[in-house]
Amino acid sequence: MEAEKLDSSMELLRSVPYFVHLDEVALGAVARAAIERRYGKGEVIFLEGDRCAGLCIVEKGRVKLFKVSRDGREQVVKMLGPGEFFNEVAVLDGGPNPLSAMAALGSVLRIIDRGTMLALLTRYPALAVGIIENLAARARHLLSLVEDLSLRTVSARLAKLLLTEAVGGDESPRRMTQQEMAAQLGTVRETVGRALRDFEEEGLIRFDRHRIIVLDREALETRAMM
Amino acid sequence: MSPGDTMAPEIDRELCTGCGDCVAVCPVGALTLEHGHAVVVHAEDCQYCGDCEELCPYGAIARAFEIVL
Repeated sequence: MEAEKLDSSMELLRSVPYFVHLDEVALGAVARAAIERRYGKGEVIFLEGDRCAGLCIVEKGRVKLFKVSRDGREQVVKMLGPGEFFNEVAVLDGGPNPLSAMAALGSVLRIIDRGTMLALLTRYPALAVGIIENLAARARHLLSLVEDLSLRTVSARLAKLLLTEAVGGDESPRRMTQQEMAAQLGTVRETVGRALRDFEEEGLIRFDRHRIIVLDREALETRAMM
Repeated sequence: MSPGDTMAPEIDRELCTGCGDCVAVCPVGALTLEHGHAVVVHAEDCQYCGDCEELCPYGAIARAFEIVL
């Protein structure tokens, strides 16, 4: 791999939590093992249920992760941009891809297949530490999600999401569509739209064109059971 | 007018079939059909009311929101 390309690949890999503990030598080895793949807009990267495609890191473009329901409806699970990664579960357990992935824009990915990943793990214990930390954080997140789904109503989950996402002062807020909120909350867009309107009628939030302004933080916290 | 005030709903051209329902429902005429797809031509007029998003049978229209304190 050319020196310049290797540098940019290492720079990209530094953004992946798995690799944060790696020194330059180990990171260089991972960068050399990561195969570059280019996808045109709309091109399928892999399909759910197929054999593990490897750990994929987005270098350029935008990738859509989605599931298709039995009646053929596509549910977008997440959109990913540069520096983000996906398919980490399948690369570790050797099972099939849990989701389908498509290039929403022309995209460049770095892909590390399972065999290479396991070989790197054996050689660089620091990589194992990064992965264990990441999996533990994920387990913690899933526990919180289980609690949300089993104990909180959609309205409570939405209140929690609004409080978590809301920023003030000079911080630049992330933009979220109602579809993205719904995907995060495990519901559909229409339900999110209704719950937001209810919050507005109750004076908890106010719509100001493209802004959702939190008016009553305490009441939202009560609603979120926080 | 700040740049955010001209933010308009995003239309996914791959999902849009050009049925024109959104154009018909828009209360301020911010949308039109061009080459078989809906496009926002008057973003400055858009009130961000969401009627187009609600009505679109193909889920092709989405409004992005910033959540602020």
